[in-house]
Amino acid sequence: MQRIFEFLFRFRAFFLFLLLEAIAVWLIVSNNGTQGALFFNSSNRIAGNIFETRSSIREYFSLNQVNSDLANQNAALLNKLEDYERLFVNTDSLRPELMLIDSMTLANYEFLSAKVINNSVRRAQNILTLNKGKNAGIETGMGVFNEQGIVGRVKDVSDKFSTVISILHTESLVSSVLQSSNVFGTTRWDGVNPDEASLLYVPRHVTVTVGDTVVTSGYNSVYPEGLKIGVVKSVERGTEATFYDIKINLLTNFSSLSYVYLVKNKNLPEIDSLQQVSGVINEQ
Amino acid sequence: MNSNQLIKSSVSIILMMIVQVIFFKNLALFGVAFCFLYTGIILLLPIQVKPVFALVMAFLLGLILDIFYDSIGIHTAAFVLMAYLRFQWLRVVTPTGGYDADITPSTQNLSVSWFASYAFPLLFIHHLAFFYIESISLNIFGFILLKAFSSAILTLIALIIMQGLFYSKRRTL
Repeated sequence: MQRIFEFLFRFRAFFLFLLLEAIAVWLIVSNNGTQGALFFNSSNRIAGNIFETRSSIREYFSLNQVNSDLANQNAALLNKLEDYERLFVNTDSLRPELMLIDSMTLANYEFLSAKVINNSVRRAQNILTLNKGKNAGIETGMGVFNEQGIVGRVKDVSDKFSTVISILHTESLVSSVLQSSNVFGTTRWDGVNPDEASLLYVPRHVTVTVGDTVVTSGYNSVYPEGLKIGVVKSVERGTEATFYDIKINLLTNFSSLSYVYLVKNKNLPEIDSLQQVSGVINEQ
Repeated sequence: MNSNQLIKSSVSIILMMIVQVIFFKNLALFGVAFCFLYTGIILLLPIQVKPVFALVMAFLLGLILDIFYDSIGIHTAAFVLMAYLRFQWLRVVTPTGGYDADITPSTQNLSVSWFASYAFPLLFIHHLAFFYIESISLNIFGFILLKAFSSAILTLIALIIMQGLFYSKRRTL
C-alpha cells in the first residue's frame, strides 16, 4: 500500500497533468453544443463590463461609418413605410382595425437592437458579445442581423449581456434559398476565410450562376424570410455526384460590426412543440 | 522568492493577461499569425518552481482566458499541456554547466538564442493544440499547421521584445 502511495507521489505532476487535462476535455465536450454553460463565457458580468469599456473607447473611431450605415437603413425603412401607407389609403379592405382580426397579418416577428461589444473573425469558432441581455428582453435562440445581412444566433443570455454564435462558426447552419431560382440549400462556414462560406446540398439539376443572391429561406424559425446572406462566387461540380460545390461571398462585413438587430419569432414555441411532436429536427 | 518579488510577478501576470484580452485578442497578422503573449507567464516562471504549482496556475489562467475568448476548455487544455511539457523540455535544453540557482529562463539571464530554442517548440505545441482542438470538426490541417507555425514565430518575437523592454538581469520574473 505504501509503495502505491510512493509511486503516486513520485509521479504526482504527471497524474495532476492527466487530471487537469481530463477536466479541460470534459469542459470542451460538455459545452460543445450551441447552448453553453452560463458562467464560463463572455456574457458574465466581469468579462462583459471589460469588453463594454473597450468597445466604448473604440466606437469613437468608427462613428462616421456607423452613422452613414444607420442613415441608409433609415432611408430604406422610410421607403418601405411609404409603400405600406399607400396601400392603406388606397384599399378600404385593408383597414387597420380589420387587419388586427386576421392572424395572417399580425406581426410574427419582434425586433430589438443591440451593440456588439466583443467580436472575432479570425478564429475557427467565432462568437460575439452584445451589450444587452435578459433585462432588455433578449432570449436564447433569437436571430441576429444588421443592414448588410445576417450575423448569427443568440447562444447564452445573462442579465446585462448576451453571446451570439456568429455565422463564422462551424455549427451555424442556415437554411438558405437562391433568390433567382428559389432552390434551397444550407449555408455553412468553412473555417478559413471570414468573407466566404459554402452553400451545401444544392442539387446538380438546377442552374446556378455566379452573382446570384442567397437569402434566408424563412423555413427555419430563427430568421425571417429574405434576409441577405451572400452572393454566389463560384460554382463547381463537386466530388459528390449529387450536389454542387458552391462558394458564396458573405455580404455582412463581420470585421466592422457595430449595431445589430435581433429578431424574435413569436410563433417559435408553437412551431418548436409541433416539430418535436412530429419528430422533425431542423437546422437553424 | 521574497514578498517584493512575489508582488512584482503577480503584477506582471495580471498585466500580461489584461494585455492579451484587450489588445491581442483580435490581432491576426495576415489572418494567420496570432499573438499569445500570455504563454510567457508559464515560460518565464523561475526554474525552481514546482511542476504541481505551474500546472495549477496554467489551469486557472487558462480558464480565465477561456471566459474571455468564449472557448471554454480549449485554452485550458493547451496551456496545461505546455506547462507539463516545459519541465521535461527544461531538462533537455540545459546549457553546459547547468542552470544557476533560482533564475528565470529569460533572454537576459541566458541568451536570446537559448531562449528561442527553449520557447519555440513549446509555443508551437501550445498553438498547434489550441488551433487543432478549436477546429477539430474541420478538415483543414494544413491551415492549422500554418497558423500554429506563424503564431509561434510572432509570439516568440513579442516575448523577446517584452523581455528586452521590461526585464532586468537576475530578477526572478
